[in-house]
Amino acid sequence: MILYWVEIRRALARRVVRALAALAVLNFIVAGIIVFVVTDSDAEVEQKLGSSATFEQDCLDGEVLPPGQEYATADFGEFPVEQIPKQFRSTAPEIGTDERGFFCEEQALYLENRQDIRRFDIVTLRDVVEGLTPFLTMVALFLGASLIGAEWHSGMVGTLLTWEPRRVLVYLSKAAAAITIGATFFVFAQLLLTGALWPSAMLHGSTLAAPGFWGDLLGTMGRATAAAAITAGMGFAIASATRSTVFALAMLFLVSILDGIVTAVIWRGYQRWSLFQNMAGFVEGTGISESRDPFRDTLVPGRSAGSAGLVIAMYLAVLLAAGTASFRARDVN
Amino acid sequence: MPVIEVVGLRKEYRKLRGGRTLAVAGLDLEVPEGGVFGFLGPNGSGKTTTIRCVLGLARATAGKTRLLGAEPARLHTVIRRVGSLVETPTFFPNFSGRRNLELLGAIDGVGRNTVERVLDRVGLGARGRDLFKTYSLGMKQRLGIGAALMKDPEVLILDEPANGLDPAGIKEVRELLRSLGQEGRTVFLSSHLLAEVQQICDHVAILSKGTCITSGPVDDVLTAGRQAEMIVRAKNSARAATVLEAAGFGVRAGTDDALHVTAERDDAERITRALAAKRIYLTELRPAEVNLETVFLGLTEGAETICPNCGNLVPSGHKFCTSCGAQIAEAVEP
Repeated sequence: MILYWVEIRRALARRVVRALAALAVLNFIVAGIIVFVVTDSDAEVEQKLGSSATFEQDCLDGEVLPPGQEYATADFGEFPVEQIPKQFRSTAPEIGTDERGFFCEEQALYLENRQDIRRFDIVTLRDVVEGLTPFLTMVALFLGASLIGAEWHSGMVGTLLTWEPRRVLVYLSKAAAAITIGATFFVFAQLLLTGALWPSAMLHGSTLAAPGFWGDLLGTMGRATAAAAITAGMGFAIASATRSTVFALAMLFLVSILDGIVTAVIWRGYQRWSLFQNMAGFVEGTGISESRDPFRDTLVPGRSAGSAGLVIAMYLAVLLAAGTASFRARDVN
Repeated sequence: MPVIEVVGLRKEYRKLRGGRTLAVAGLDLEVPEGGVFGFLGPNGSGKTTTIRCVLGLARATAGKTRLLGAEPARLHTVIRRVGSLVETPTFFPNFSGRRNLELLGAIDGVGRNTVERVLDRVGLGARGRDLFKTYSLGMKQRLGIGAALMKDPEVLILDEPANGLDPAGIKEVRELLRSLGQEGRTVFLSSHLLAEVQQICDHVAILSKGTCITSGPVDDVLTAGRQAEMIVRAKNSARAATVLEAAGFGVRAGTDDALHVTAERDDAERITRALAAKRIYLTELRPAEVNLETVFLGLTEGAETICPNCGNLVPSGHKFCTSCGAQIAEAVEP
């Protein structure tokens, strides 16, 4: 346990971890500000909606679009009416008729739509989290790989083993620290993201959500965090066995390409075992859908989200077992 | 019980393109408790590999090693009593010296006060906050020694601790090691600086090509390895050499026209008479000094050469020094 906390302390003291954390803070603050700036406040929305209401009243009174004036029957934006094809043109109805009422309501609606009211509702957060997950997972992968890769690079592993020679203990402590750091960074990023977007939702949108939304969002965040932790562990295991951060990242990049090629071109059935498809299915909570293998004309069974999570956890377990065996057996320079 | 015990240690490294390199070839070694033990040998003789095997960093191909009675699998039971420095110290380059020691010390519950004390003891108190990567080789070496001292160990295993140190630093380390040995600790010192080792070691083992060629108390090794020689100088050294050879002495030319004559101290009179009879008069006659270097070179006859630049022992056949890279064509052959 002491070794685990030492590893955590060391990881948190690393410049790359601090730099990534600072970068995340900066990025999410900037993102929060951008979202806040481009969305409309309640007053702005009221103003825009008010102008369309005024327009509707003016229309009913005949002050705009007086009877007989040509108008576009479809949304051509600001395009001059006289240049619009005749089949898309009509004339404004007489004042005081029901037809005029429908006509003005419709024109006000067009105007309202053209006002481009931008709001940020908190329910969008789920999509944002899902969209950011691949990127943040890559960061977790890098953190996990570089934790041990940097140590091999500096030659510190040998020094450490002269203080704690139980290699399995050292390896598992480091792996646990890598997984913790990967997951913590992910949670930290999600909290930052939520915090950065919250003012926009409060002042330029809505924090109201349908029943079940928060549970659903927490579920997505939890699964995404688990995926990031697993990825960090994988990065650690590969970098530990290859004794290089770069090699580990290159290897996972290669696996991602092969994974895609095999699934798309060679064997559709492989999708059930594809690391990336299982990862995506797990994070989204949808699992992997059943599909037809066009090469063999057979039905490829799908997989539930929970089962997809187990598959990626199994990959991690295999990599960690191989990494432990390698770390235990090989000489340390 | 010996502090370090090595029995029939053999270590082979596989080469990438096939074949194997034999680093240690059946080494037997016993390091007694207390004092400073010198572990000598030229570069590539297997010193560091032996230390790695003893510390559990490398697995022996055959044979056994024990440190404080513990085999590599049980090292964790004794590692708290052992401080070590293997080759060039390795720490995190982007952490300060102090933080590096704090993180290492945390594994064993070593507090910050101890870290400060150790930094002061190795002369890094003022540079403790600087990044490790900004340290000179000598400072890195000092930090490595500091890390080894942090556990207040019974046994210190130091592999070339004087590497990169300036003369003042070498003197400090020498005095530090001597004081540690006098405190009752066992200091296992691997080095190729024979003069240094001779000054501070109580026991010594000499390694060549992966095997131990002699070991024991320094005085015993010097006595046993002593090649009885007299240094003879005369104005006509070539003629003097011919006369002495005719008188039955073994003669080889030394530097500055000095002749190294294989003879005991008691043979001085015979040498003087033989030369005087031929009207050759001595300008100097004295017994040759015996030191670890001469013993080492005598024992490893023809196997090593002394680098004229740094004094390192280089395996024969090398055209350049394995330590400093200097050309060794003019090196003194043993």
